[in-house]
Amino acid sequence: MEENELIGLSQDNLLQFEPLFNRYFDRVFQYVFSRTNNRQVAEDLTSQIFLKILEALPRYQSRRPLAAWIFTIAKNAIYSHYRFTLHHPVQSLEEAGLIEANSASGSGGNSKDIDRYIDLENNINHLPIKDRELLRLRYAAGLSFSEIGTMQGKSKEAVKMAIHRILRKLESRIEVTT
Amino acid sequence: MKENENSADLSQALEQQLSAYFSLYEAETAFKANIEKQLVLHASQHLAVGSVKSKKRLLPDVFYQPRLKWVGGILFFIIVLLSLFAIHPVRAIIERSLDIGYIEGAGFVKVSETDILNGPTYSAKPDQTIGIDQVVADPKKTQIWFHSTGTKFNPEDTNGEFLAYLDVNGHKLPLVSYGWNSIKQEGIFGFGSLGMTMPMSFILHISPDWSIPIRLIPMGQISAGQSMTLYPDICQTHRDVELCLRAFVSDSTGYHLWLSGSSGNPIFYLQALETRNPLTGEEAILMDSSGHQLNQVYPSQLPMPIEVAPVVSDVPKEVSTTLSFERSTNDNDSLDFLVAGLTGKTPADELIMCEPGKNPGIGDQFPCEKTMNIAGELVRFHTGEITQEKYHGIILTLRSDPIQSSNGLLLTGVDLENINDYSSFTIGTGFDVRTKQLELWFTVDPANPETLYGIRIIDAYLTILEPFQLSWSLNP
Repeated sequence: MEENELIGLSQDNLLQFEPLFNRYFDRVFQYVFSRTNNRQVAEDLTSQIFLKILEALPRYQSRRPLAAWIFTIAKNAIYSHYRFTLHHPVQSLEEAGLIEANSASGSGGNSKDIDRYIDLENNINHLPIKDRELLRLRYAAGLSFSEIGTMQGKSKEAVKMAIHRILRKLESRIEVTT
Repeated sequence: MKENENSADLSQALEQQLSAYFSLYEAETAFKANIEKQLVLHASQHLAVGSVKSKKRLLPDVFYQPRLKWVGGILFFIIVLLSLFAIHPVRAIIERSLDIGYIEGAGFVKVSETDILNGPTYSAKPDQTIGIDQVVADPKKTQIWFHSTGTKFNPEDTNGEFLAYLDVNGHKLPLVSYGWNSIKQEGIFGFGSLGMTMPMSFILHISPDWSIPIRLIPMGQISAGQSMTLYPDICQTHRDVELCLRAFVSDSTGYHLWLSGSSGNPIFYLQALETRNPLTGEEAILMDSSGHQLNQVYPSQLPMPIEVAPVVSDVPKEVSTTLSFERSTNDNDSLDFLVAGLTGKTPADELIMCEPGKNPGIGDQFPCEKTMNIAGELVRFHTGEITQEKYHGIILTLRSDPIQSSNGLLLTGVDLENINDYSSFTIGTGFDVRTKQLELWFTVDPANPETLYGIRIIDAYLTILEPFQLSWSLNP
């Protein structure tokens, strides 16, 4: 079913929200978790974000893409969280238990993959904050260039160019395995 | 990606690695299932509230027919007059306008056809305790508020199915909704109806290990030892914000006040009743006619109010709360209630940009001149300062001049939105009570020291400076 139809269904009856929820849940959670690096905080924030989406959905207008609207809500929820939580320790992938958990379950790959993820994480963490945010929106939230552009008031081309530069920067620092 | 974008010029291998890297941040299945259930519950409640709001009319439909409106009005007036003279005069008005009751441990609930728990019920095992805080049952539904201490509470089996149900005289009443707040460690179970009035006792089965007998009492029987008075018209208004005392309850534990606030100002709205003035720190005060001040009972002992009239609105303008005070030994004939100030919110669209210059260092100060009008208050920022903070790293702080009050309102905080290009630096705000200064801070990225920091102030928090004073006689 097309996204517009799903939006219409949900706006008519909020109990029909499930398909939209399933479409966006993983993307929102990955985005929030990668921003907070703390599972408990990410779970609490994701709950809040979807409650906000549910409450605001009847007023959503399709002038801007739904994904951009949803991730603006997510971004604001994260800001609010930081505003009221001054002391927020940030964890690495290992500290957050992600690598261990995923390698145990098989989804994280072998030890070579793990080394690569750690290397990638170190390099991402050395990028400027705005670059990290772009990577998250593109690869954690799975947004298209134009959706990111809508969120940030930029053209699709400008976003594409910015991400292109970031990838070049990363490529020069890490060994990319094909 | 949804778009068919030409990514030939981007490194596909690196893109795949990045996607795989971010997919490590995956959610646990149980969490997803839980949030889905919470959303269904929320959507159901939303629909229920909407349905009640759209259908609820005080009088039969005939009174709303345009042609019969005047006839209805006269009939209604006669009914009110008869009520006034035939029954207790004040009570008739009150019961028509405020059909609520107050229960220790539950707060104010709807009176009609409601059975409730007399007090909390606890059930314990070596590593976990479950407390049933309140049960509210009527012919249509039964809701159970509970909390849990000890081991992490999980009412699901390994397949993610709920095992909870009510055993009502041998009939199984399945769980239809469930909400759980993992931070507060409390939740709510919702059960359907048997199609008749719920009996007074039943058993709550949460899992094979947990069976908790529950015994209810009808609302009408809980008045012993309590005196409750409902007030329809004790209100005071400052700056178009009205604070009303809705009900006063006296029992062995103290005095309980139900307050409601509403804003008549189209842009100034209340989100919650903050009965503590953020500038002076003064609490709400209850005082008897001889000037004796009663101390407020603090939150651990406050009753848990069940929301009486949920407000569904884009801009919340009506809020309510209960406050408890210790009991006075005096024989009171009248009481005063004073609130030092109320805080509300108003939209404020202002932009501030600040440039720390190239390679800013810790301790650097630089001019950041900006005078802006935020919700009618003139705020002047003049200097930025770079400091280091333990958890946030390097921070850029902007402080305003002291903010003078005007029109009986004082700016006490702002909501911010980052407007920079893709930046995701952290922004925060605060208000220094002693210096009456507004403070904005940004995390500074050392790898990108020339960033121009820009934020939009989207909302302003204003505190009403005049104290509200509600006075009422206890023996009308």
